[in-house]
Amino acid sequence: MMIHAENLHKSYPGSDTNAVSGLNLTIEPGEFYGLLGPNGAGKTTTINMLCGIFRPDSGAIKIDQQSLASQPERVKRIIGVVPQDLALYPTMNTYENLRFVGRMYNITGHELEEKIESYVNLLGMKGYAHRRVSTYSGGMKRKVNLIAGILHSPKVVFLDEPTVGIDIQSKKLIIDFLKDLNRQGVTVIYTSHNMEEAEMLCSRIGILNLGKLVLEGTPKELTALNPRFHKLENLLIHLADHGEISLNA
Amino acid sequence: MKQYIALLYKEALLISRDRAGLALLFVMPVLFLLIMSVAQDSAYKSVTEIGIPVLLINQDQDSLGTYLQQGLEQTDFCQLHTTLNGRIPTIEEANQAVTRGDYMFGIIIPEGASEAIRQSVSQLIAGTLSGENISDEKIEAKEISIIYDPTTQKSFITTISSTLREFISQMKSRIIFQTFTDGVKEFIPGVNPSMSLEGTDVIHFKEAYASNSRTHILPNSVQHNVPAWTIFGMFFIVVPLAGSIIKEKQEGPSIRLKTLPGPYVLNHLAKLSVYFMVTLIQFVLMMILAKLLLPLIGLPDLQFGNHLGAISLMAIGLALAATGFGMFTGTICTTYQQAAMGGSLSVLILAALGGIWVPMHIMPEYMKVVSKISPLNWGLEGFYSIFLRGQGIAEIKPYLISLGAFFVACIALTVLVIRIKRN
Repeated sequence: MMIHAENLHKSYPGSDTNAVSGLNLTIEPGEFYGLLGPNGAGKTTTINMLCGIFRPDSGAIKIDQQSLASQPERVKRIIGVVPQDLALYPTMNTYENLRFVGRMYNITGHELEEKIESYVNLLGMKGYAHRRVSTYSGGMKRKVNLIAGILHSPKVVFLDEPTVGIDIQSKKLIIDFLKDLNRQGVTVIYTSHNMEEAEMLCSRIGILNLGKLVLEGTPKELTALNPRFHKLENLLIHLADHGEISLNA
Repeated sequence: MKQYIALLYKEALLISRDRAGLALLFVMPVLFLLIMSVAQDSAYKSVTEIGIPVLLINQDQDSLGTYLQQGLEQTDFCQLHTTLNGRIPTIEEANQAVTRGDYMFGIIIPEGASEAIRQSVSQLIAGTLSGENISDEKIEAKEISIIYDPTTQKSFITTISSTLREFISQMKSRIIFQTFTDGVKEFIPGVNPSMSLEGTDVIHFKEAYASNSRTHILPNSVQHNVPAWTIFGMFFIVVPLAGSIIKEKQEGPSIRLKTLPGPYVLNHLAKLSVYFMVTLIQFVLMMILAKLLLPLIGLPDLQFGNHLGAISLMAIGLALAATGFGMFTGTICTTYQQAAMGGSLSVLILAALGGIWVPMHIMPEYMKVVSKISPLNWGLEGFYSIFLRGQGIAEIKPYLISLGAFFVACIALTVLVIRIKRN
């Protein structure tokens, strides 16, 4: 397995409830795994724990057989993170941002320039790459954010709502890019509020509610659970309204 | 190491694009330096070069008035005026001129003051030599008035009063001596004493500013303001440095940094290194600017003393203390507004305490004690030691140790806060 999380717990100071409570998760290599759920379900907290941004209060995480707690440096080199917040320096241009990220992974010289150039061309950023990131549209920023997360060719990529707030053209480009990445064998863990997009992209989906994994399966398996849930969107609406999923309803 | 270099390059790029931050670091202290040096120049010159403006009304027109006038004309500390609009002023006119601030103080020697001294001495000699008590014959007392500008400091008034009293006492002694000599001649015919009062003056005072160097450097507005505003500017690195840490947290890059290889603290170390270099560049530029520019606008030439090594160590100590304080501020603050307001306010308070805005010598005693808690004061005192006292590394060691300890404390607290926040 590529990702194995066992009994994860996480709470925030000042909050009575756990953001994540007793979460167990196993993701196989090459999967496109969607982590879905209503607002406050614990999706971002789970992603942040899986990629080492937060430490869980308890529980264990292994990525590609390596413990995140005891070997964080090894894990960091095999994962790529595309956070929901744009993790870029606004006063630097695309090349400067990407060169910085590449050098941090010890990619330098010709290899780095080639990689940057190919991704910039692939995502249609060529004409803008010399401009400062602060002058970009939301879609352009999302593209650079995505490249920064996959520049070092990771085995696993965590994407937290990578297509939120962008135009249709940019969204299509990003979705095609992610599909292609997954086809190359990269394991993708992805969160989104866009159920259609998740249904189309994901090979397996885990549904979180109140910090717990309440359902897991392929999109087909989930939509077949109950005729009312013929669309994932209906399942999520039901979950948000009732706080639980009643398959007999 | 490659990661550290990548982080250094990133920080250098970011700071080179932060125009507001650069203006704050390089333009603001230069403006302060120019304004304060020019503004305080006349205050320093009034004592050392051009002298304090003094109005003397010599109604006596005799020995005492003449001696006093000659004495004041010969001293460096005052710029003597005896007329107003080309004529001797009345007491009322003198009062108004001093009240307006045209003169720092006025001296009025009443008519007959010399004669009163002479009469009193003659009476004393006559009584002593004849053995008769003639003290019943009253001589009218005369009053020398000194009027001060109401804004003059009490300590300054005390100093001037003491100086004038001493001066008048000397003049009185001369008159007494002359009268006594004349009396002896009159009462003991045939005796012609050829004594001179100057011959009795065997105690001399030599006044000089204490200094280890052979060069004599006078304290002036440049010698105070250049180190003072350079230190202030160096400590203002707190605002852009803390702001840079907060921006990284708020704008998202900190999330990426936490997922990149290498310890997160390496980013802080690179930030510290770049801002440390910036404060050193700031120091060098301020010194060069002060040396070259200030004489062009009529201000005194900046004297560095003779210890380049001591100057370099003080600059390094200050740069460490300033950047350490910036790291701590950026770590404990959660918003850019907090960092900007908190950082600049804390530097302003430390500057006020440390004698940057208000020179230490006019502070009350308890404030002088309180000022010792300010790292800006340690820096300023260190530079006074090098620039004015001509001292070297051995003498500035306490200030260097204090600045180093302050840096270590700031960094230790920064690491502690990061760990607490991360856990």
